Amino acid sequence: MKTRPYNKADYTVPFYDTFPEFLAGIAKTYGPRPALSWFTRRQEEKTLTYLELTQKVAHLRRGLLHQGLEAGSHVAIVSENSADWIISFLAVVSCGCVAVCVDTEQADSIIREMVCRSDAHLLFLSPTFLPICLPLLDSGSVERVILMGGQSGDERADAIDSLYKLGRSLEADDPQPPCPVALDQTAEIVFTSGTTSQSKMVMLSQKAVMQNLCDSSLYVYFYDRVFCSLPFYHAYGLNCAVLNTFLRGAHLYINGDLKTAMRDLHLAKPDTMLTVPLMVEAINNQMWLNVEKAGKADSLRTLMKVAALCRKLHLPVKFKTLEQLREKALGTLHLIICGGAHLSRELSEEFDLLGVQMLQGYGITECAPLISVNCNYANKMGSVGLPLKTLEVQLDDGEVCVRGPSVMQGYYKDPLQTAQALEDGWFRTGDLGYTDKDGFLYLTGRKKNLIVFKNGKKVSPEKLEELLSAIPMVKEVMVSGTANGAFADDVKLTASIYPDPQRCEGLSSYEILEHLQQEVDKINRDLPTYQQIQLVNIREKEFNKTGTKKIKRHAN
Amino acid sequence: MLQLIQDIVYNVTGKQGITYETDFVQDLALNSFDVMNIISAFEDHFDTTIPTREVWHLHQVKDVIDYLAHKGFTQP
Repeated sequence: MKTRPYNKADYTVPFYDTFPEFLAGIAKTYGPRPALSWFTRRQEEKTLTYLELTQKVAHLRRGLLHQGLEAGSHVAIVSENSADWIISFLAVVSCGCVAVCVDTEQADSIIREMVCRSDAHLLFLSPTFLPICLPLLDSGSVERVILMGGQSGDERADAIDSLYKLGRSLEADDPQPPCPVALDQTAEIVFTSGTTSQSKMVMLSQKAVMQNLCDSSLYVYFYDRVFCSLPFYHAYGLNCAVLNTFLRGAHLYINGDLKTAMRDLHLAKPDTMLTVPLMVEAINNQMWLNVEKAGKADSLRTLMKVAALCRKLHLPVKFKTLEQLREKALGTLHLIICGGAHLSRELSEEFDLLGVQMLQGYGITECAPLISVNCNYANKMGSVGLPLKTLEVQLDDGEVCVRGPSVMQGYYKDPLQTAQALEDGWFRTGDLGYTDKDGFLYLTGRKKNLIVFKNGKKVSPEKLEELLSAIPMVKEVMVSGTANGAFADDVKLTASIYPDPQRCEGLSSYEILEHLQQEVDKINRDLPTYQQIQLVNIREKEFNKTGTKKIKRHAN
Repeated sequence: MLQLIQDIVYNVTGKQGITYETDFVQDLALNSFDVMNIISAFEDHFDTTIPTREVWHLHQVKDVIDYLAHKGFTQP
């Protein structure tokens, strides 16, 4: 592992403006180095070097172009994280097409709706999503589906391997450079978080994505081996983790399934990890669980207090027990970059005492996504770091507003929402915050009505309320995130329901609750775990409302 | 089978007092990552694969037992 740099000049990386330049650059600069690795179910490690990766991208791109893919076409990727996901994405964006990154944690019907709304006519699918998306082919909404990894047994889907093969033979006879693309060509369409089809489609240009990567490289240094289990369909996983690792020439280990994330983390032996607070807490909980089982929790707590005191007094924190604990729980990990949701300061400090630097960052899909991040050489715990160099950040009545080259082009096919979100190039994030005298940004809350979970997912309560309102017994409902657990930002989804008095006549409170719980359970069945309503409260009175009869969210 | 589930849940999360009706999210306040880790432990134990999208439907302990029985696993 490289030593931790404290001088910005030590880690300059090249700047690129477009994906074709980026691909040509990483192939030339890092060619034989390992670029991408993953583990099979049998724990075998598979690896592609930078040269192999960029060649596979070139072959796929050539095959697609040969079969008639036209510049500007929208191509959707519906799959779990995989090497083919990354290769398909890079092939699409490096020939002037638009990659539509579909959120695969949504219900089947929402996934189909996302594909249709994005006007994608070509789909890259993993076997899991083939049966979900084939109806789109049958109905004529999409023209072609390409299956990644595995045999479909369905002749309507083409195998990605046949495209690789075709492209390879064409390239062998007549190699061609990547197509030139314009800086303002849309590269990615990424969906904002939401619970239903109302999620917005954010258009990010070639330049916006590249600028965001290159700007972040001025602040954050990755070591040699980077681990990422963040979903690639979010800008955080794709741009900050995958593309940033390639920009720096590091070795990326990917994980495509939360079920094997911890296993792969230990197998990969990374020194750097990009993640969300949820995973940091899971690692921390597991570590403390093991310590408690060994009957050493009290002595460790005492040692942590001593170590914290040493840190406060600027004395070196060198304790063999802590080093052994870190090695057992975190292996070779020395740097965690955490974003997507608020990370508690206590956790950052605890990891710091174990010898793991925790850099908290802040981003939003509409900004490609990084807005600010702490630096390896200047890290203020509790803050979300310094705004990127090319971004202007202003606080308007406490709301963080951002302008600069990595801000989105707008929402696809939604000029009204675009006009509301962008004013003279300024994007209103909906987050409230302040900056300190050194320019570090601190977040204090949200202006927009979104519930943010520790896994970085966001839920719009209105959309869940819409689902719950369809229950006949529900007259009024409000969904909120209520405190749950040790930290202030631990939330669980709670539905407060005012039942329809007419429909409840003659029923006891218990019977009403039982009936409502059964209905809520039915709704939960179609929702991913994090979106499920965990608690149902019954109200005896109607909600307080505004003059326009909207429920007052903060007065009930 | 219940004993096996109790052991796995305790090993992964430290939570105890599991019954057939226990709901992983509502009663144990587990997050999606905890649930996935529990399912992963089942996969290892039974040498099987439980697709992630099917995990959404496993709310209670009895759902897991039914699911495993459906796949032919009735003994721990």
